[in-house]
Amino acid sequence: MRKQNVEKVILYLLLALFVIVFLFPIYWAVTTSFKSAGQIMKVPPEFFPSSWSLQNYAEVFTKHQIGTYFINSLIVSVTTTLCAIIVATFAGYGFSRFKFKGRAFWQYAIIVMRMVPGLVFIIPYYIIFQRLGILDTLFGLIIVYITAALPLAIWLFMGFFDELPTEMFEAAKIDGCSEFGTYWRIALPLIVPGIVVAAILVFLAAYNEFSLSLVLIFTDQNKTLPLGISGMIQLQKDTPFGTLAAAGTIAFIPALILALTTQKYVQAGITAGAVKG
Amino acid sequence: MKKKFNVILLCFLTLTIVLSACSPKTTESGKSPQPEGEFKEVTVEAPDVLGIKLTDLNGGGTLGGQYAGQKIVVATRTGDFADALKNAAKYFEEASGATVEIQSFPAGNDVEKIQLDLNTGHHFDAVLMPVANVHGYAEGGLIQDLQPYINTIASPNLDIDDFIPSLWESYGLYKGRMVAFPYKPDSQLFFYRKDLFEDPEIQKQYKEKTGMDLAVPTTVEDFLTVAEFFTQKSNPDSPTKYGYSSMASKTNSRLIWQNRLAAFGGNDVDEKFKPEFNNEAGLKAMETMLELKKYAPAEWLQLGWDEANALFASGEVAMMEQWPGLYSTIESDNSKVKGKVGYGVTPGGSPTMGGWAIAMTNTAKYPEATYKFLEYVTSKDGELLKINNTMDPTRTSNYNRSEVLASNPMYPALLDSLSGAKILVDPDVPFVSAKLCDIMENAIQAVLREEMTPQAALDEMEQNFIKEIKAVGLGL
Amino acid sequence: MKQETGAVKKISERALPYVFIGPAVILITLLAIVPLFYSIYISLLNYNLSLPNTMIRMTGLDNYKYMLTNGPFMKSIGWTMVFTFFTVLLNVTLGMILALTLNNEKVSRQTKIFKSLFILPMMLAPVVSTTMWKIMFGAIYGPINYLIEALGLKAVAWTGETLPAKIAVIIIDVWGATPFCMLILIAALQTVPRDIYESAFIDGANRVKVFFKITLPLIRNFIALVVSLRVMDALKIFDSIMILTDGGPGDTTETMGTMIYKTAFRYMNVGAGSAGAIIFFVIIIVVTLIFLKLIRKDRQ
Repeated sequence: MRKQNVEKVILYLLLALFVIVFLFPIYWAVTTSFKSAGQIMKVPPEFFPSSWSLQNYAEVFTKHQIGTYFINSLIVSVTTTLCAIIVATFAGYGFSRFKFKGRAFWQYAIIVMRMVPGLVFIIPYYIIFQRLGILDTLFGLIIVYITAALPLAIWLFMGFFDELPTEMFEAAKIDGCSEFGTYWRIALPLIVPGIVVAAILVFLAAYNEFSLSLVLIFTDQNKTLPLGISGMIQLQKDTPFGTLAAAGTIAFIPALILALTTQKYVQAGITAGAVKG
Repeated sequence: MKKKFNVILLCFLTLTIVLSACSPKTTESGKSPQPEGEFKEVTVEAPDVLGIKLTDLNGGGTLGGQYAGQKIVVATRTGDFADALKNAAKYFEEASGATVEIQSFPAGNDVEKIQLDLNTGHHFDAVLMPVANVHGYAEGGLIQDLQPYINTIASPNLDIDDFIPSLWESYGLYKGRMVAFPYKPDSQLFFYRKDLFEDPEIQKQYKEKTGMDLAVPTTVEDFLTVAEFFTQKSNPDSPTKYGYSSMASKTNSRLIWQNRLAAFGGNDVDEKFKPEFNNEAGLKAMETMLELKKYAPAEWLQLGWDEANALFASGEVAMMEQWPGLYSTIESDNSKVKGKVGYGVTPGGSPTMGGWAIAMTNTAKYPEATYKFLEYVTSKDGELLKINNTMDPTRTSNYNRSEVLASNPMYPALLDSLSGAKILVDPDVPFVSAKLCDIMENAIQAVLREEMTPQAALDEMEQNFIKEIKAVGLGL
Repeated sequence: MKQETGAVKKISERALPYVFIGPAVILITLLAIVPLFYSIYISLLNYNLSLPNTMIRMTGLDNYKYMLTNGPFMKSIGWTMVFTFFTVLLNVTLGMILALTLNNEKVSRQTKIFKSLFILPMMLAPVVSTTMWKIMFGAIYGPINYLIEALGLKAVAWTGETLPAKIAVIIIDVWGATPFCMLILIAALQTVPRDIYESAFIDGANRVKVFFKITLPLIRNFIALVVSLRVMDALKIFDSIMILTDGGPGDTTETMGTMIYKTAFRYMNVGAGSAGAIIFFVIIIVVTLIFLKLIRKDRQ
């Protein structure tokens, strides 16, 4: 019994340490958002704000178009996530379940694409999108983000589909299920935890992406949050750190909600159940 | 079968969406550069600025809604620059009938974004950028000569001679051609603790220690003596911890050297783009820099904009060389030096200049309207619209207006600095300006870290300068 | 009738896999593979964004020669490798520890909240987090130096000296990427059925042994996935270095990512930058494949 308690204490201590380390920068960002400019560069630093003010939040909404950026970011990220998950589960299933000509080639090709440094894409995208007339559109951004999300998502789903036992598929076939039906009704539900993980990663990647949006977006009304917030940073002038932190905190909220609400799907037992049954 | 049907439907749907986006944008009709609307006399009203009534907001009578239906796209950096333009655009639209769209990009990424578009996309009609970049565009044939427009459609109030001469020559002209209007003047300023310099106790102490009268230094010699006095390490009775401070982090450290280079008679490059600093002037400037290191904060090399300014505002520094933006930190409520700071010209009398200029691209769809916009935002009354966005005036007449001069205590120092300044913060060499900056930064950082002797650094800088400038086929 | 269906079935059966991977393949070809080849083409050109387009011409492998003889670029390769090694090691180890801790049945109910807390670093936009880290690592006003001095030690020159700068960058990356590893490893641990553990414990094995002999091999492929993903991303490190040190002090914290960016977009030499990016690409492939071969076990 005692050994178990000691274990528990160590466990909790570890967790507490990690919490402090991981959360400190976020804590710093959120508290900075409530500080006035003079409270930010101070010795000793204000770990707990000496006074709280909503001035930064007011400024974020009045001086910067955060509402527009917010909506754009949400549109882009949600659409990217939905489409990417559909396309990636399709492809992951295809690679996992079938043997066909070109299977190895495309598997490697897709994974290798993730190794490409982002810089490689900037000028080609610029030129291609210009010819197609889709520069400065959210649509252009979405298809680029979907493509960027595919390698990781497909690789993940391949792994998850691989873990499913082949007997299950054979049973489904015997029962007369078409391939698509097997995919839709049997395989997908079983890898829901995997889908949730992948969805979180894809959403976050799209939501926080900066470099490509810098290249592809021009006008203020099409800017996404990372691009909009970066505009607050100044060279050789004062950067409004408090306002930046406030914008960052506001931007942080959807991601936070996403993480908190999907936690219950990432639970043990679902896959275990499938195997047992 | 049903499932397969659904799949096929999905595919078609996706294809349709993709194809619909692929349809090329309809080109704007009426691409003629001629004004379309009818000319109708118009008076534009704007709120007073600094108590001055703005009377000439219609281009001296040349604007009257005749550019209706034309759209101008102007690109610049997000922040004060974009805000200033957007503000002026409001009134310009009223006067001219044209629509102005300001597109802005984050600092640190704006240069590459705008360069990429100028080279490939051609979406912008006008750009507001730092001077070295504007000159680079001129050399690359990306912006056009404004003289033809000045000759034909200028406002009667244009008055080119009204621009501060050094600004006109170094910002607006390039190789003798008029390529841009000066928009924002910028120079390194000298900030000093007026209260300490005027304190009789401290004056007495200074006289005792050095045998000279305490005065705001203008020569490099006096500068070093005063700095030594105000540094606790060398003078335990000093009221401040450090005699001198500035930014010395990477991308900012070359200013310390440059602020002395011209004072000693050197330059970064001459008109033929040949390096002009590997000489006595450059060496003395380096040595001064190392001297200053003795009186500067221990963390000097890590100080960027925010920390360096916060340090000065905390009262621990007696003198500082910095861009005018330091003013807002000094005058903020938490500042311990509020109201105690004096403004002057950097010791040596030849500070480094910054500055922004606004130019028209070669591919401007409506060049006449675009020119009128450039002229508008830098006109006598028009340029006052931007003063509240920290975009200081560029015209002598405006500095002669007492309300303007009184609005910012730094203006007298700024004017003196602009007339004495010779070197631009980014070398005025097209195409390779950024590379030359980094070459200077690497060398000066090495000297500051005592990893390289000043002469070796000067040699290396000269070598690399020549290499890079030759590689793009300039001068030499 | 049956024969017809048989023939039809065969064709549709053969086409079926392609329908499944179709959309992905189309997108990747159009928006990844084609641009890649375009970039290779650019790398063979003398393309400078600030020079007039009329000056563009084929220069063959000149750009490659330029990058490979560029001292700082070659130096950055070394540091990029070192950085990748340390940060991936820390990431995966920490991620594993966290995943095990949170997957542990004994505490999993109470620690549900921790799962959400630990992935918070991923949620904050990089521009905000790097700016905050820059403030935190500030020489005079940064809270980190303040805490260090409060402990009685001398303040660290985070951006002023090479080693602290390198450590700072590693810290930032570990902070940002460990949640990602943790997330995937949790999902991986959950593919191990509980009854395998039960039978092992019944057989008398202790925890550590179970972990190394049973758990690890079973999730081997997921670990390979995490390691290779992290290696790919770590090699490409860019934002934190640009904002914190700009490659300094000197050029000691320049990575391949920052060097090719500076070449292409600060110095406007897109041709050379693209060549550097292709060289970089090849290096990434080689390094990642080495890791993959070492760790992954192919099924079938």
